Amino acid sequence: MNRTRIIAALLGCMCFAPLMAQNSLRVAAAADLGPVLPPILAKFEQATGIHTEVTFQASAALTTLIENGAPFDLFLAADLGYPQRLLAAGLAEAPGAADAKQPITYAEGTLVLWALKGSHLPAPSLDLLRSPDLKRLAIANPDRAPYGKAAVSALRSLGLYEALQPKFVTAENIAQAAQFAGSGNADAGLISLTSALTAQMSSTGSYFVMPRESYPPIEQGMVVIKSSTHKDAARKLLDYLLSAPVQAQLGKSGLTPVH
Amino acid sequence: MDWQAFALSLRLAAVTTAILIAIAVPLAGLLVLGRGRWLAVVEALSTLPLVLPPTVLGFFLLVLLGPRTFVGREIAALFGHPLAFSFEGLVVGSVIYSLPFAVQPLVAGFASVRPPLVDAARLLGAGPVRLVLRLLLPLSRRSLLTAAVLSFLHTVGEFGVVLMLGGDIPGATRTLSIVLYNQVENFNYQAAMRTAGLLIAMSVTALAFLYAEAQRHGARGGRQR
Amino acid sequence: MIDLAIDARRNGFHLRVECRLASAWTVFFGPSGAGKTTLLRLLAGLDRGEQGTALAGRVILEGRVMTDTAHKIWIRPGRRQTAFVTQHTGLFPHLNVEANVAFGLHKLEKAQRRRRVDEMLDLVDASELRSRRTQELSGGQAQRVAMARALATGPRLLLLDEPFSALDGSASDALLERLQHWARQNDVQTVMATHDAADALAIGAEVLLLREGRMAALGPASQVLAMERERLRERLQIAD
Repeated sequence: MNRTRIIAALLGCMCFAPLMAQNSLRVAAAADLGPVLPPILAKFEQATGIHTEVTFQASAALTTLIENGAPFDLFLAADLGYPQRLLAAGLAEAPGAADAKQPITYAEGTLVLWALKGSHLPAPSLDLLRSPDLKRLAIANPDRAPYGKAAVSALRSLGLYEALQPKFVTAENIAQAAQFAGSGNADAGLISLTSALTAQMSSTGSYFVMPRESYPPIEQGMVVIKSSTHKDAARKLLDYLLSAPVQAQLGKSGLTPVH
Repeated sequence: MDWQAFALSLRLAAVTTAILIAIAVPLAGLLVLGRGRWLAVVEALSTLPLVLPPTVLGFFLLVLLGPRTFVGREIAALFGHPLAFSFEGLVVGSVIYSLPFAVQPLVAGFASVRPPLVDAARLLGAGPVRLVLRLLLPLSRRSLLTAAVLSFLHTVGEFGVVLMLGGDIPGATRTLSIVLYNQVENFNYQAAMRTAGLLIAMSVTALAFLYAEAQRHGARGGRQR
Repeated sequence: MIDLAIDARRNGFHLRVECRLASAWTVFFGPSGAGKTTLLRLLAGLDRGEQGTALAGRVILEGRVMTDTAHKIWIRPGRRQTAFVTQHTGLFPHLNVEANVAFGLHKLEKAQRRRRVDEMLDLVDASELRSRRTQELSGGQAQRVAMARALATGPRLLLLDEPFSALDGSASDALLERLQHWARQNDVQTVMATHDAADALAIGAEVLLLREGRMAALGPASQVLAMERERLRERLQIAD
């Protein structure tokens, strides 16, 4: 009898342990922030002592997780639509924003065309997109990935969509699109500037910035999750991301600052 | 309902199953009839995909057999295109991934053939090929059916590998399980329920058929003198 | 002509036999567990030293080396021109009698194969069984079909491991007589294992007496089995 009680108590403690252990700030971040966020968060911890844990996935996937109760504190999306969805559902809030119904924009994304060096194809440019030798073009899923939607807009406004659509290979997110192009399985990829600037990608290939006017701005927004128990810490991070030095850092990494 | 994806899933499963049976029968024969310690390695390798995360397999096929490696370039030359984003690539991935489901039942079936029968066949001049085709296989029909049905179902349900290297191309790599995934990710839950229902129905039908066959032959058993 | 020099160990059982068997008909005689079956299987090439058996030695049939552990030679059973019939008939359950008998004849043409099958079934007096399924056969019938199947391939050496246990007295006598006749006609050497002294004496063969894995004697039945012969006589007299 005694032994059973001890075991039950231990199991009970184990169940509660995770709840007690959540002293870190949990951040859900879009895939294109993968190369960008970790050093910023490290500096944040140094400055404030607040430890963060990040999950990088497609914005759509993260939204689904949050809708189903995943315990995130802050959501950094690659567009405004997904955070808006959470706001409308009452699952998130945008503290300190001029319009509390809108997510807080923290940066703007840039779409680039990237390809491996040394292939027989033209270097990344509109000519590459027009080349008949381009057999496979990697893009993030246009149904749900912000950069994928931007890619389709860009191609449409450049009059290249009909010709290129049959050549699409669709990736789950920007990171996977970069992987498809980076491994040479796709001849080129429409990816984020943040991915193109990583050491891996910049050493093995080159990129071309897609004409800015050809697609609507990729405004990336963030929101605090309503059910969060660390709202103060989340706000601190939010303000930190909007501060001048961090914005400058984002600029260097391939995102356009908002201030 | 995406019937193109449904047809693609069926086609992928059928082609994979056919190739798997062709590989698994001789492999099972080797494992049961062969001698030597290296056989344990062969058996371990053929069981490995069971415990291999599909993402690892997908990565392997994408990068290590991609156009940046020598092997990948040879394969691309053979098929006319790289393995990734193609039906052929999915077949390769599915064959590797479902291999244990084809090999295990056959090994069990072959091993259950009584040794006096194998001895008798060998004395009558049967070499390994004749032993497998004329003795072990005919006496393991149920195992063969199990191997085929399990391989088929496992391939229909395959997702991780397809996600890693499929590229979601309609008619070539957009299988029914990818359609389901897309529907969920696009918040289209009603359609997702329908697709999931179809997948479940296919699996239940195939398994019911398998068990019905098993029941039918159970009485006849195969009494061996 | 069989030359054998065998040293085999398994689980504490040690078989050591070295001899030359030159007569047309040899009987391995001994109690169960003496090593008769093991020795026959080694002659047939069915055991190679696996599953914990340590095997060393040579088997030479008609001057051809079949097994030689020192030189890593091992000719597989199908190539030894050796037939082996045991108590477990080992008939293939998925084939009928005719297909069973024809199993070893796949290299022959269809017509030739048919003739051979007819011949063999006739030899064992089982012609009317040709289309039957093996599950329908009685013990004695199965034994005869197994015999026909083994002989169909035209072996040079015939090994029998207590093959008549399923047959009653007169049936086994008849079959044995046909077998002896056939073996003589086709110049086939036969080795039969039995623990039944009456059978051994009836054939008038050369007897290899096996006790606990060792060759205790090798010679004409009347000599080697003299003791057994006496015992049998006494028992028959008592019964009178």
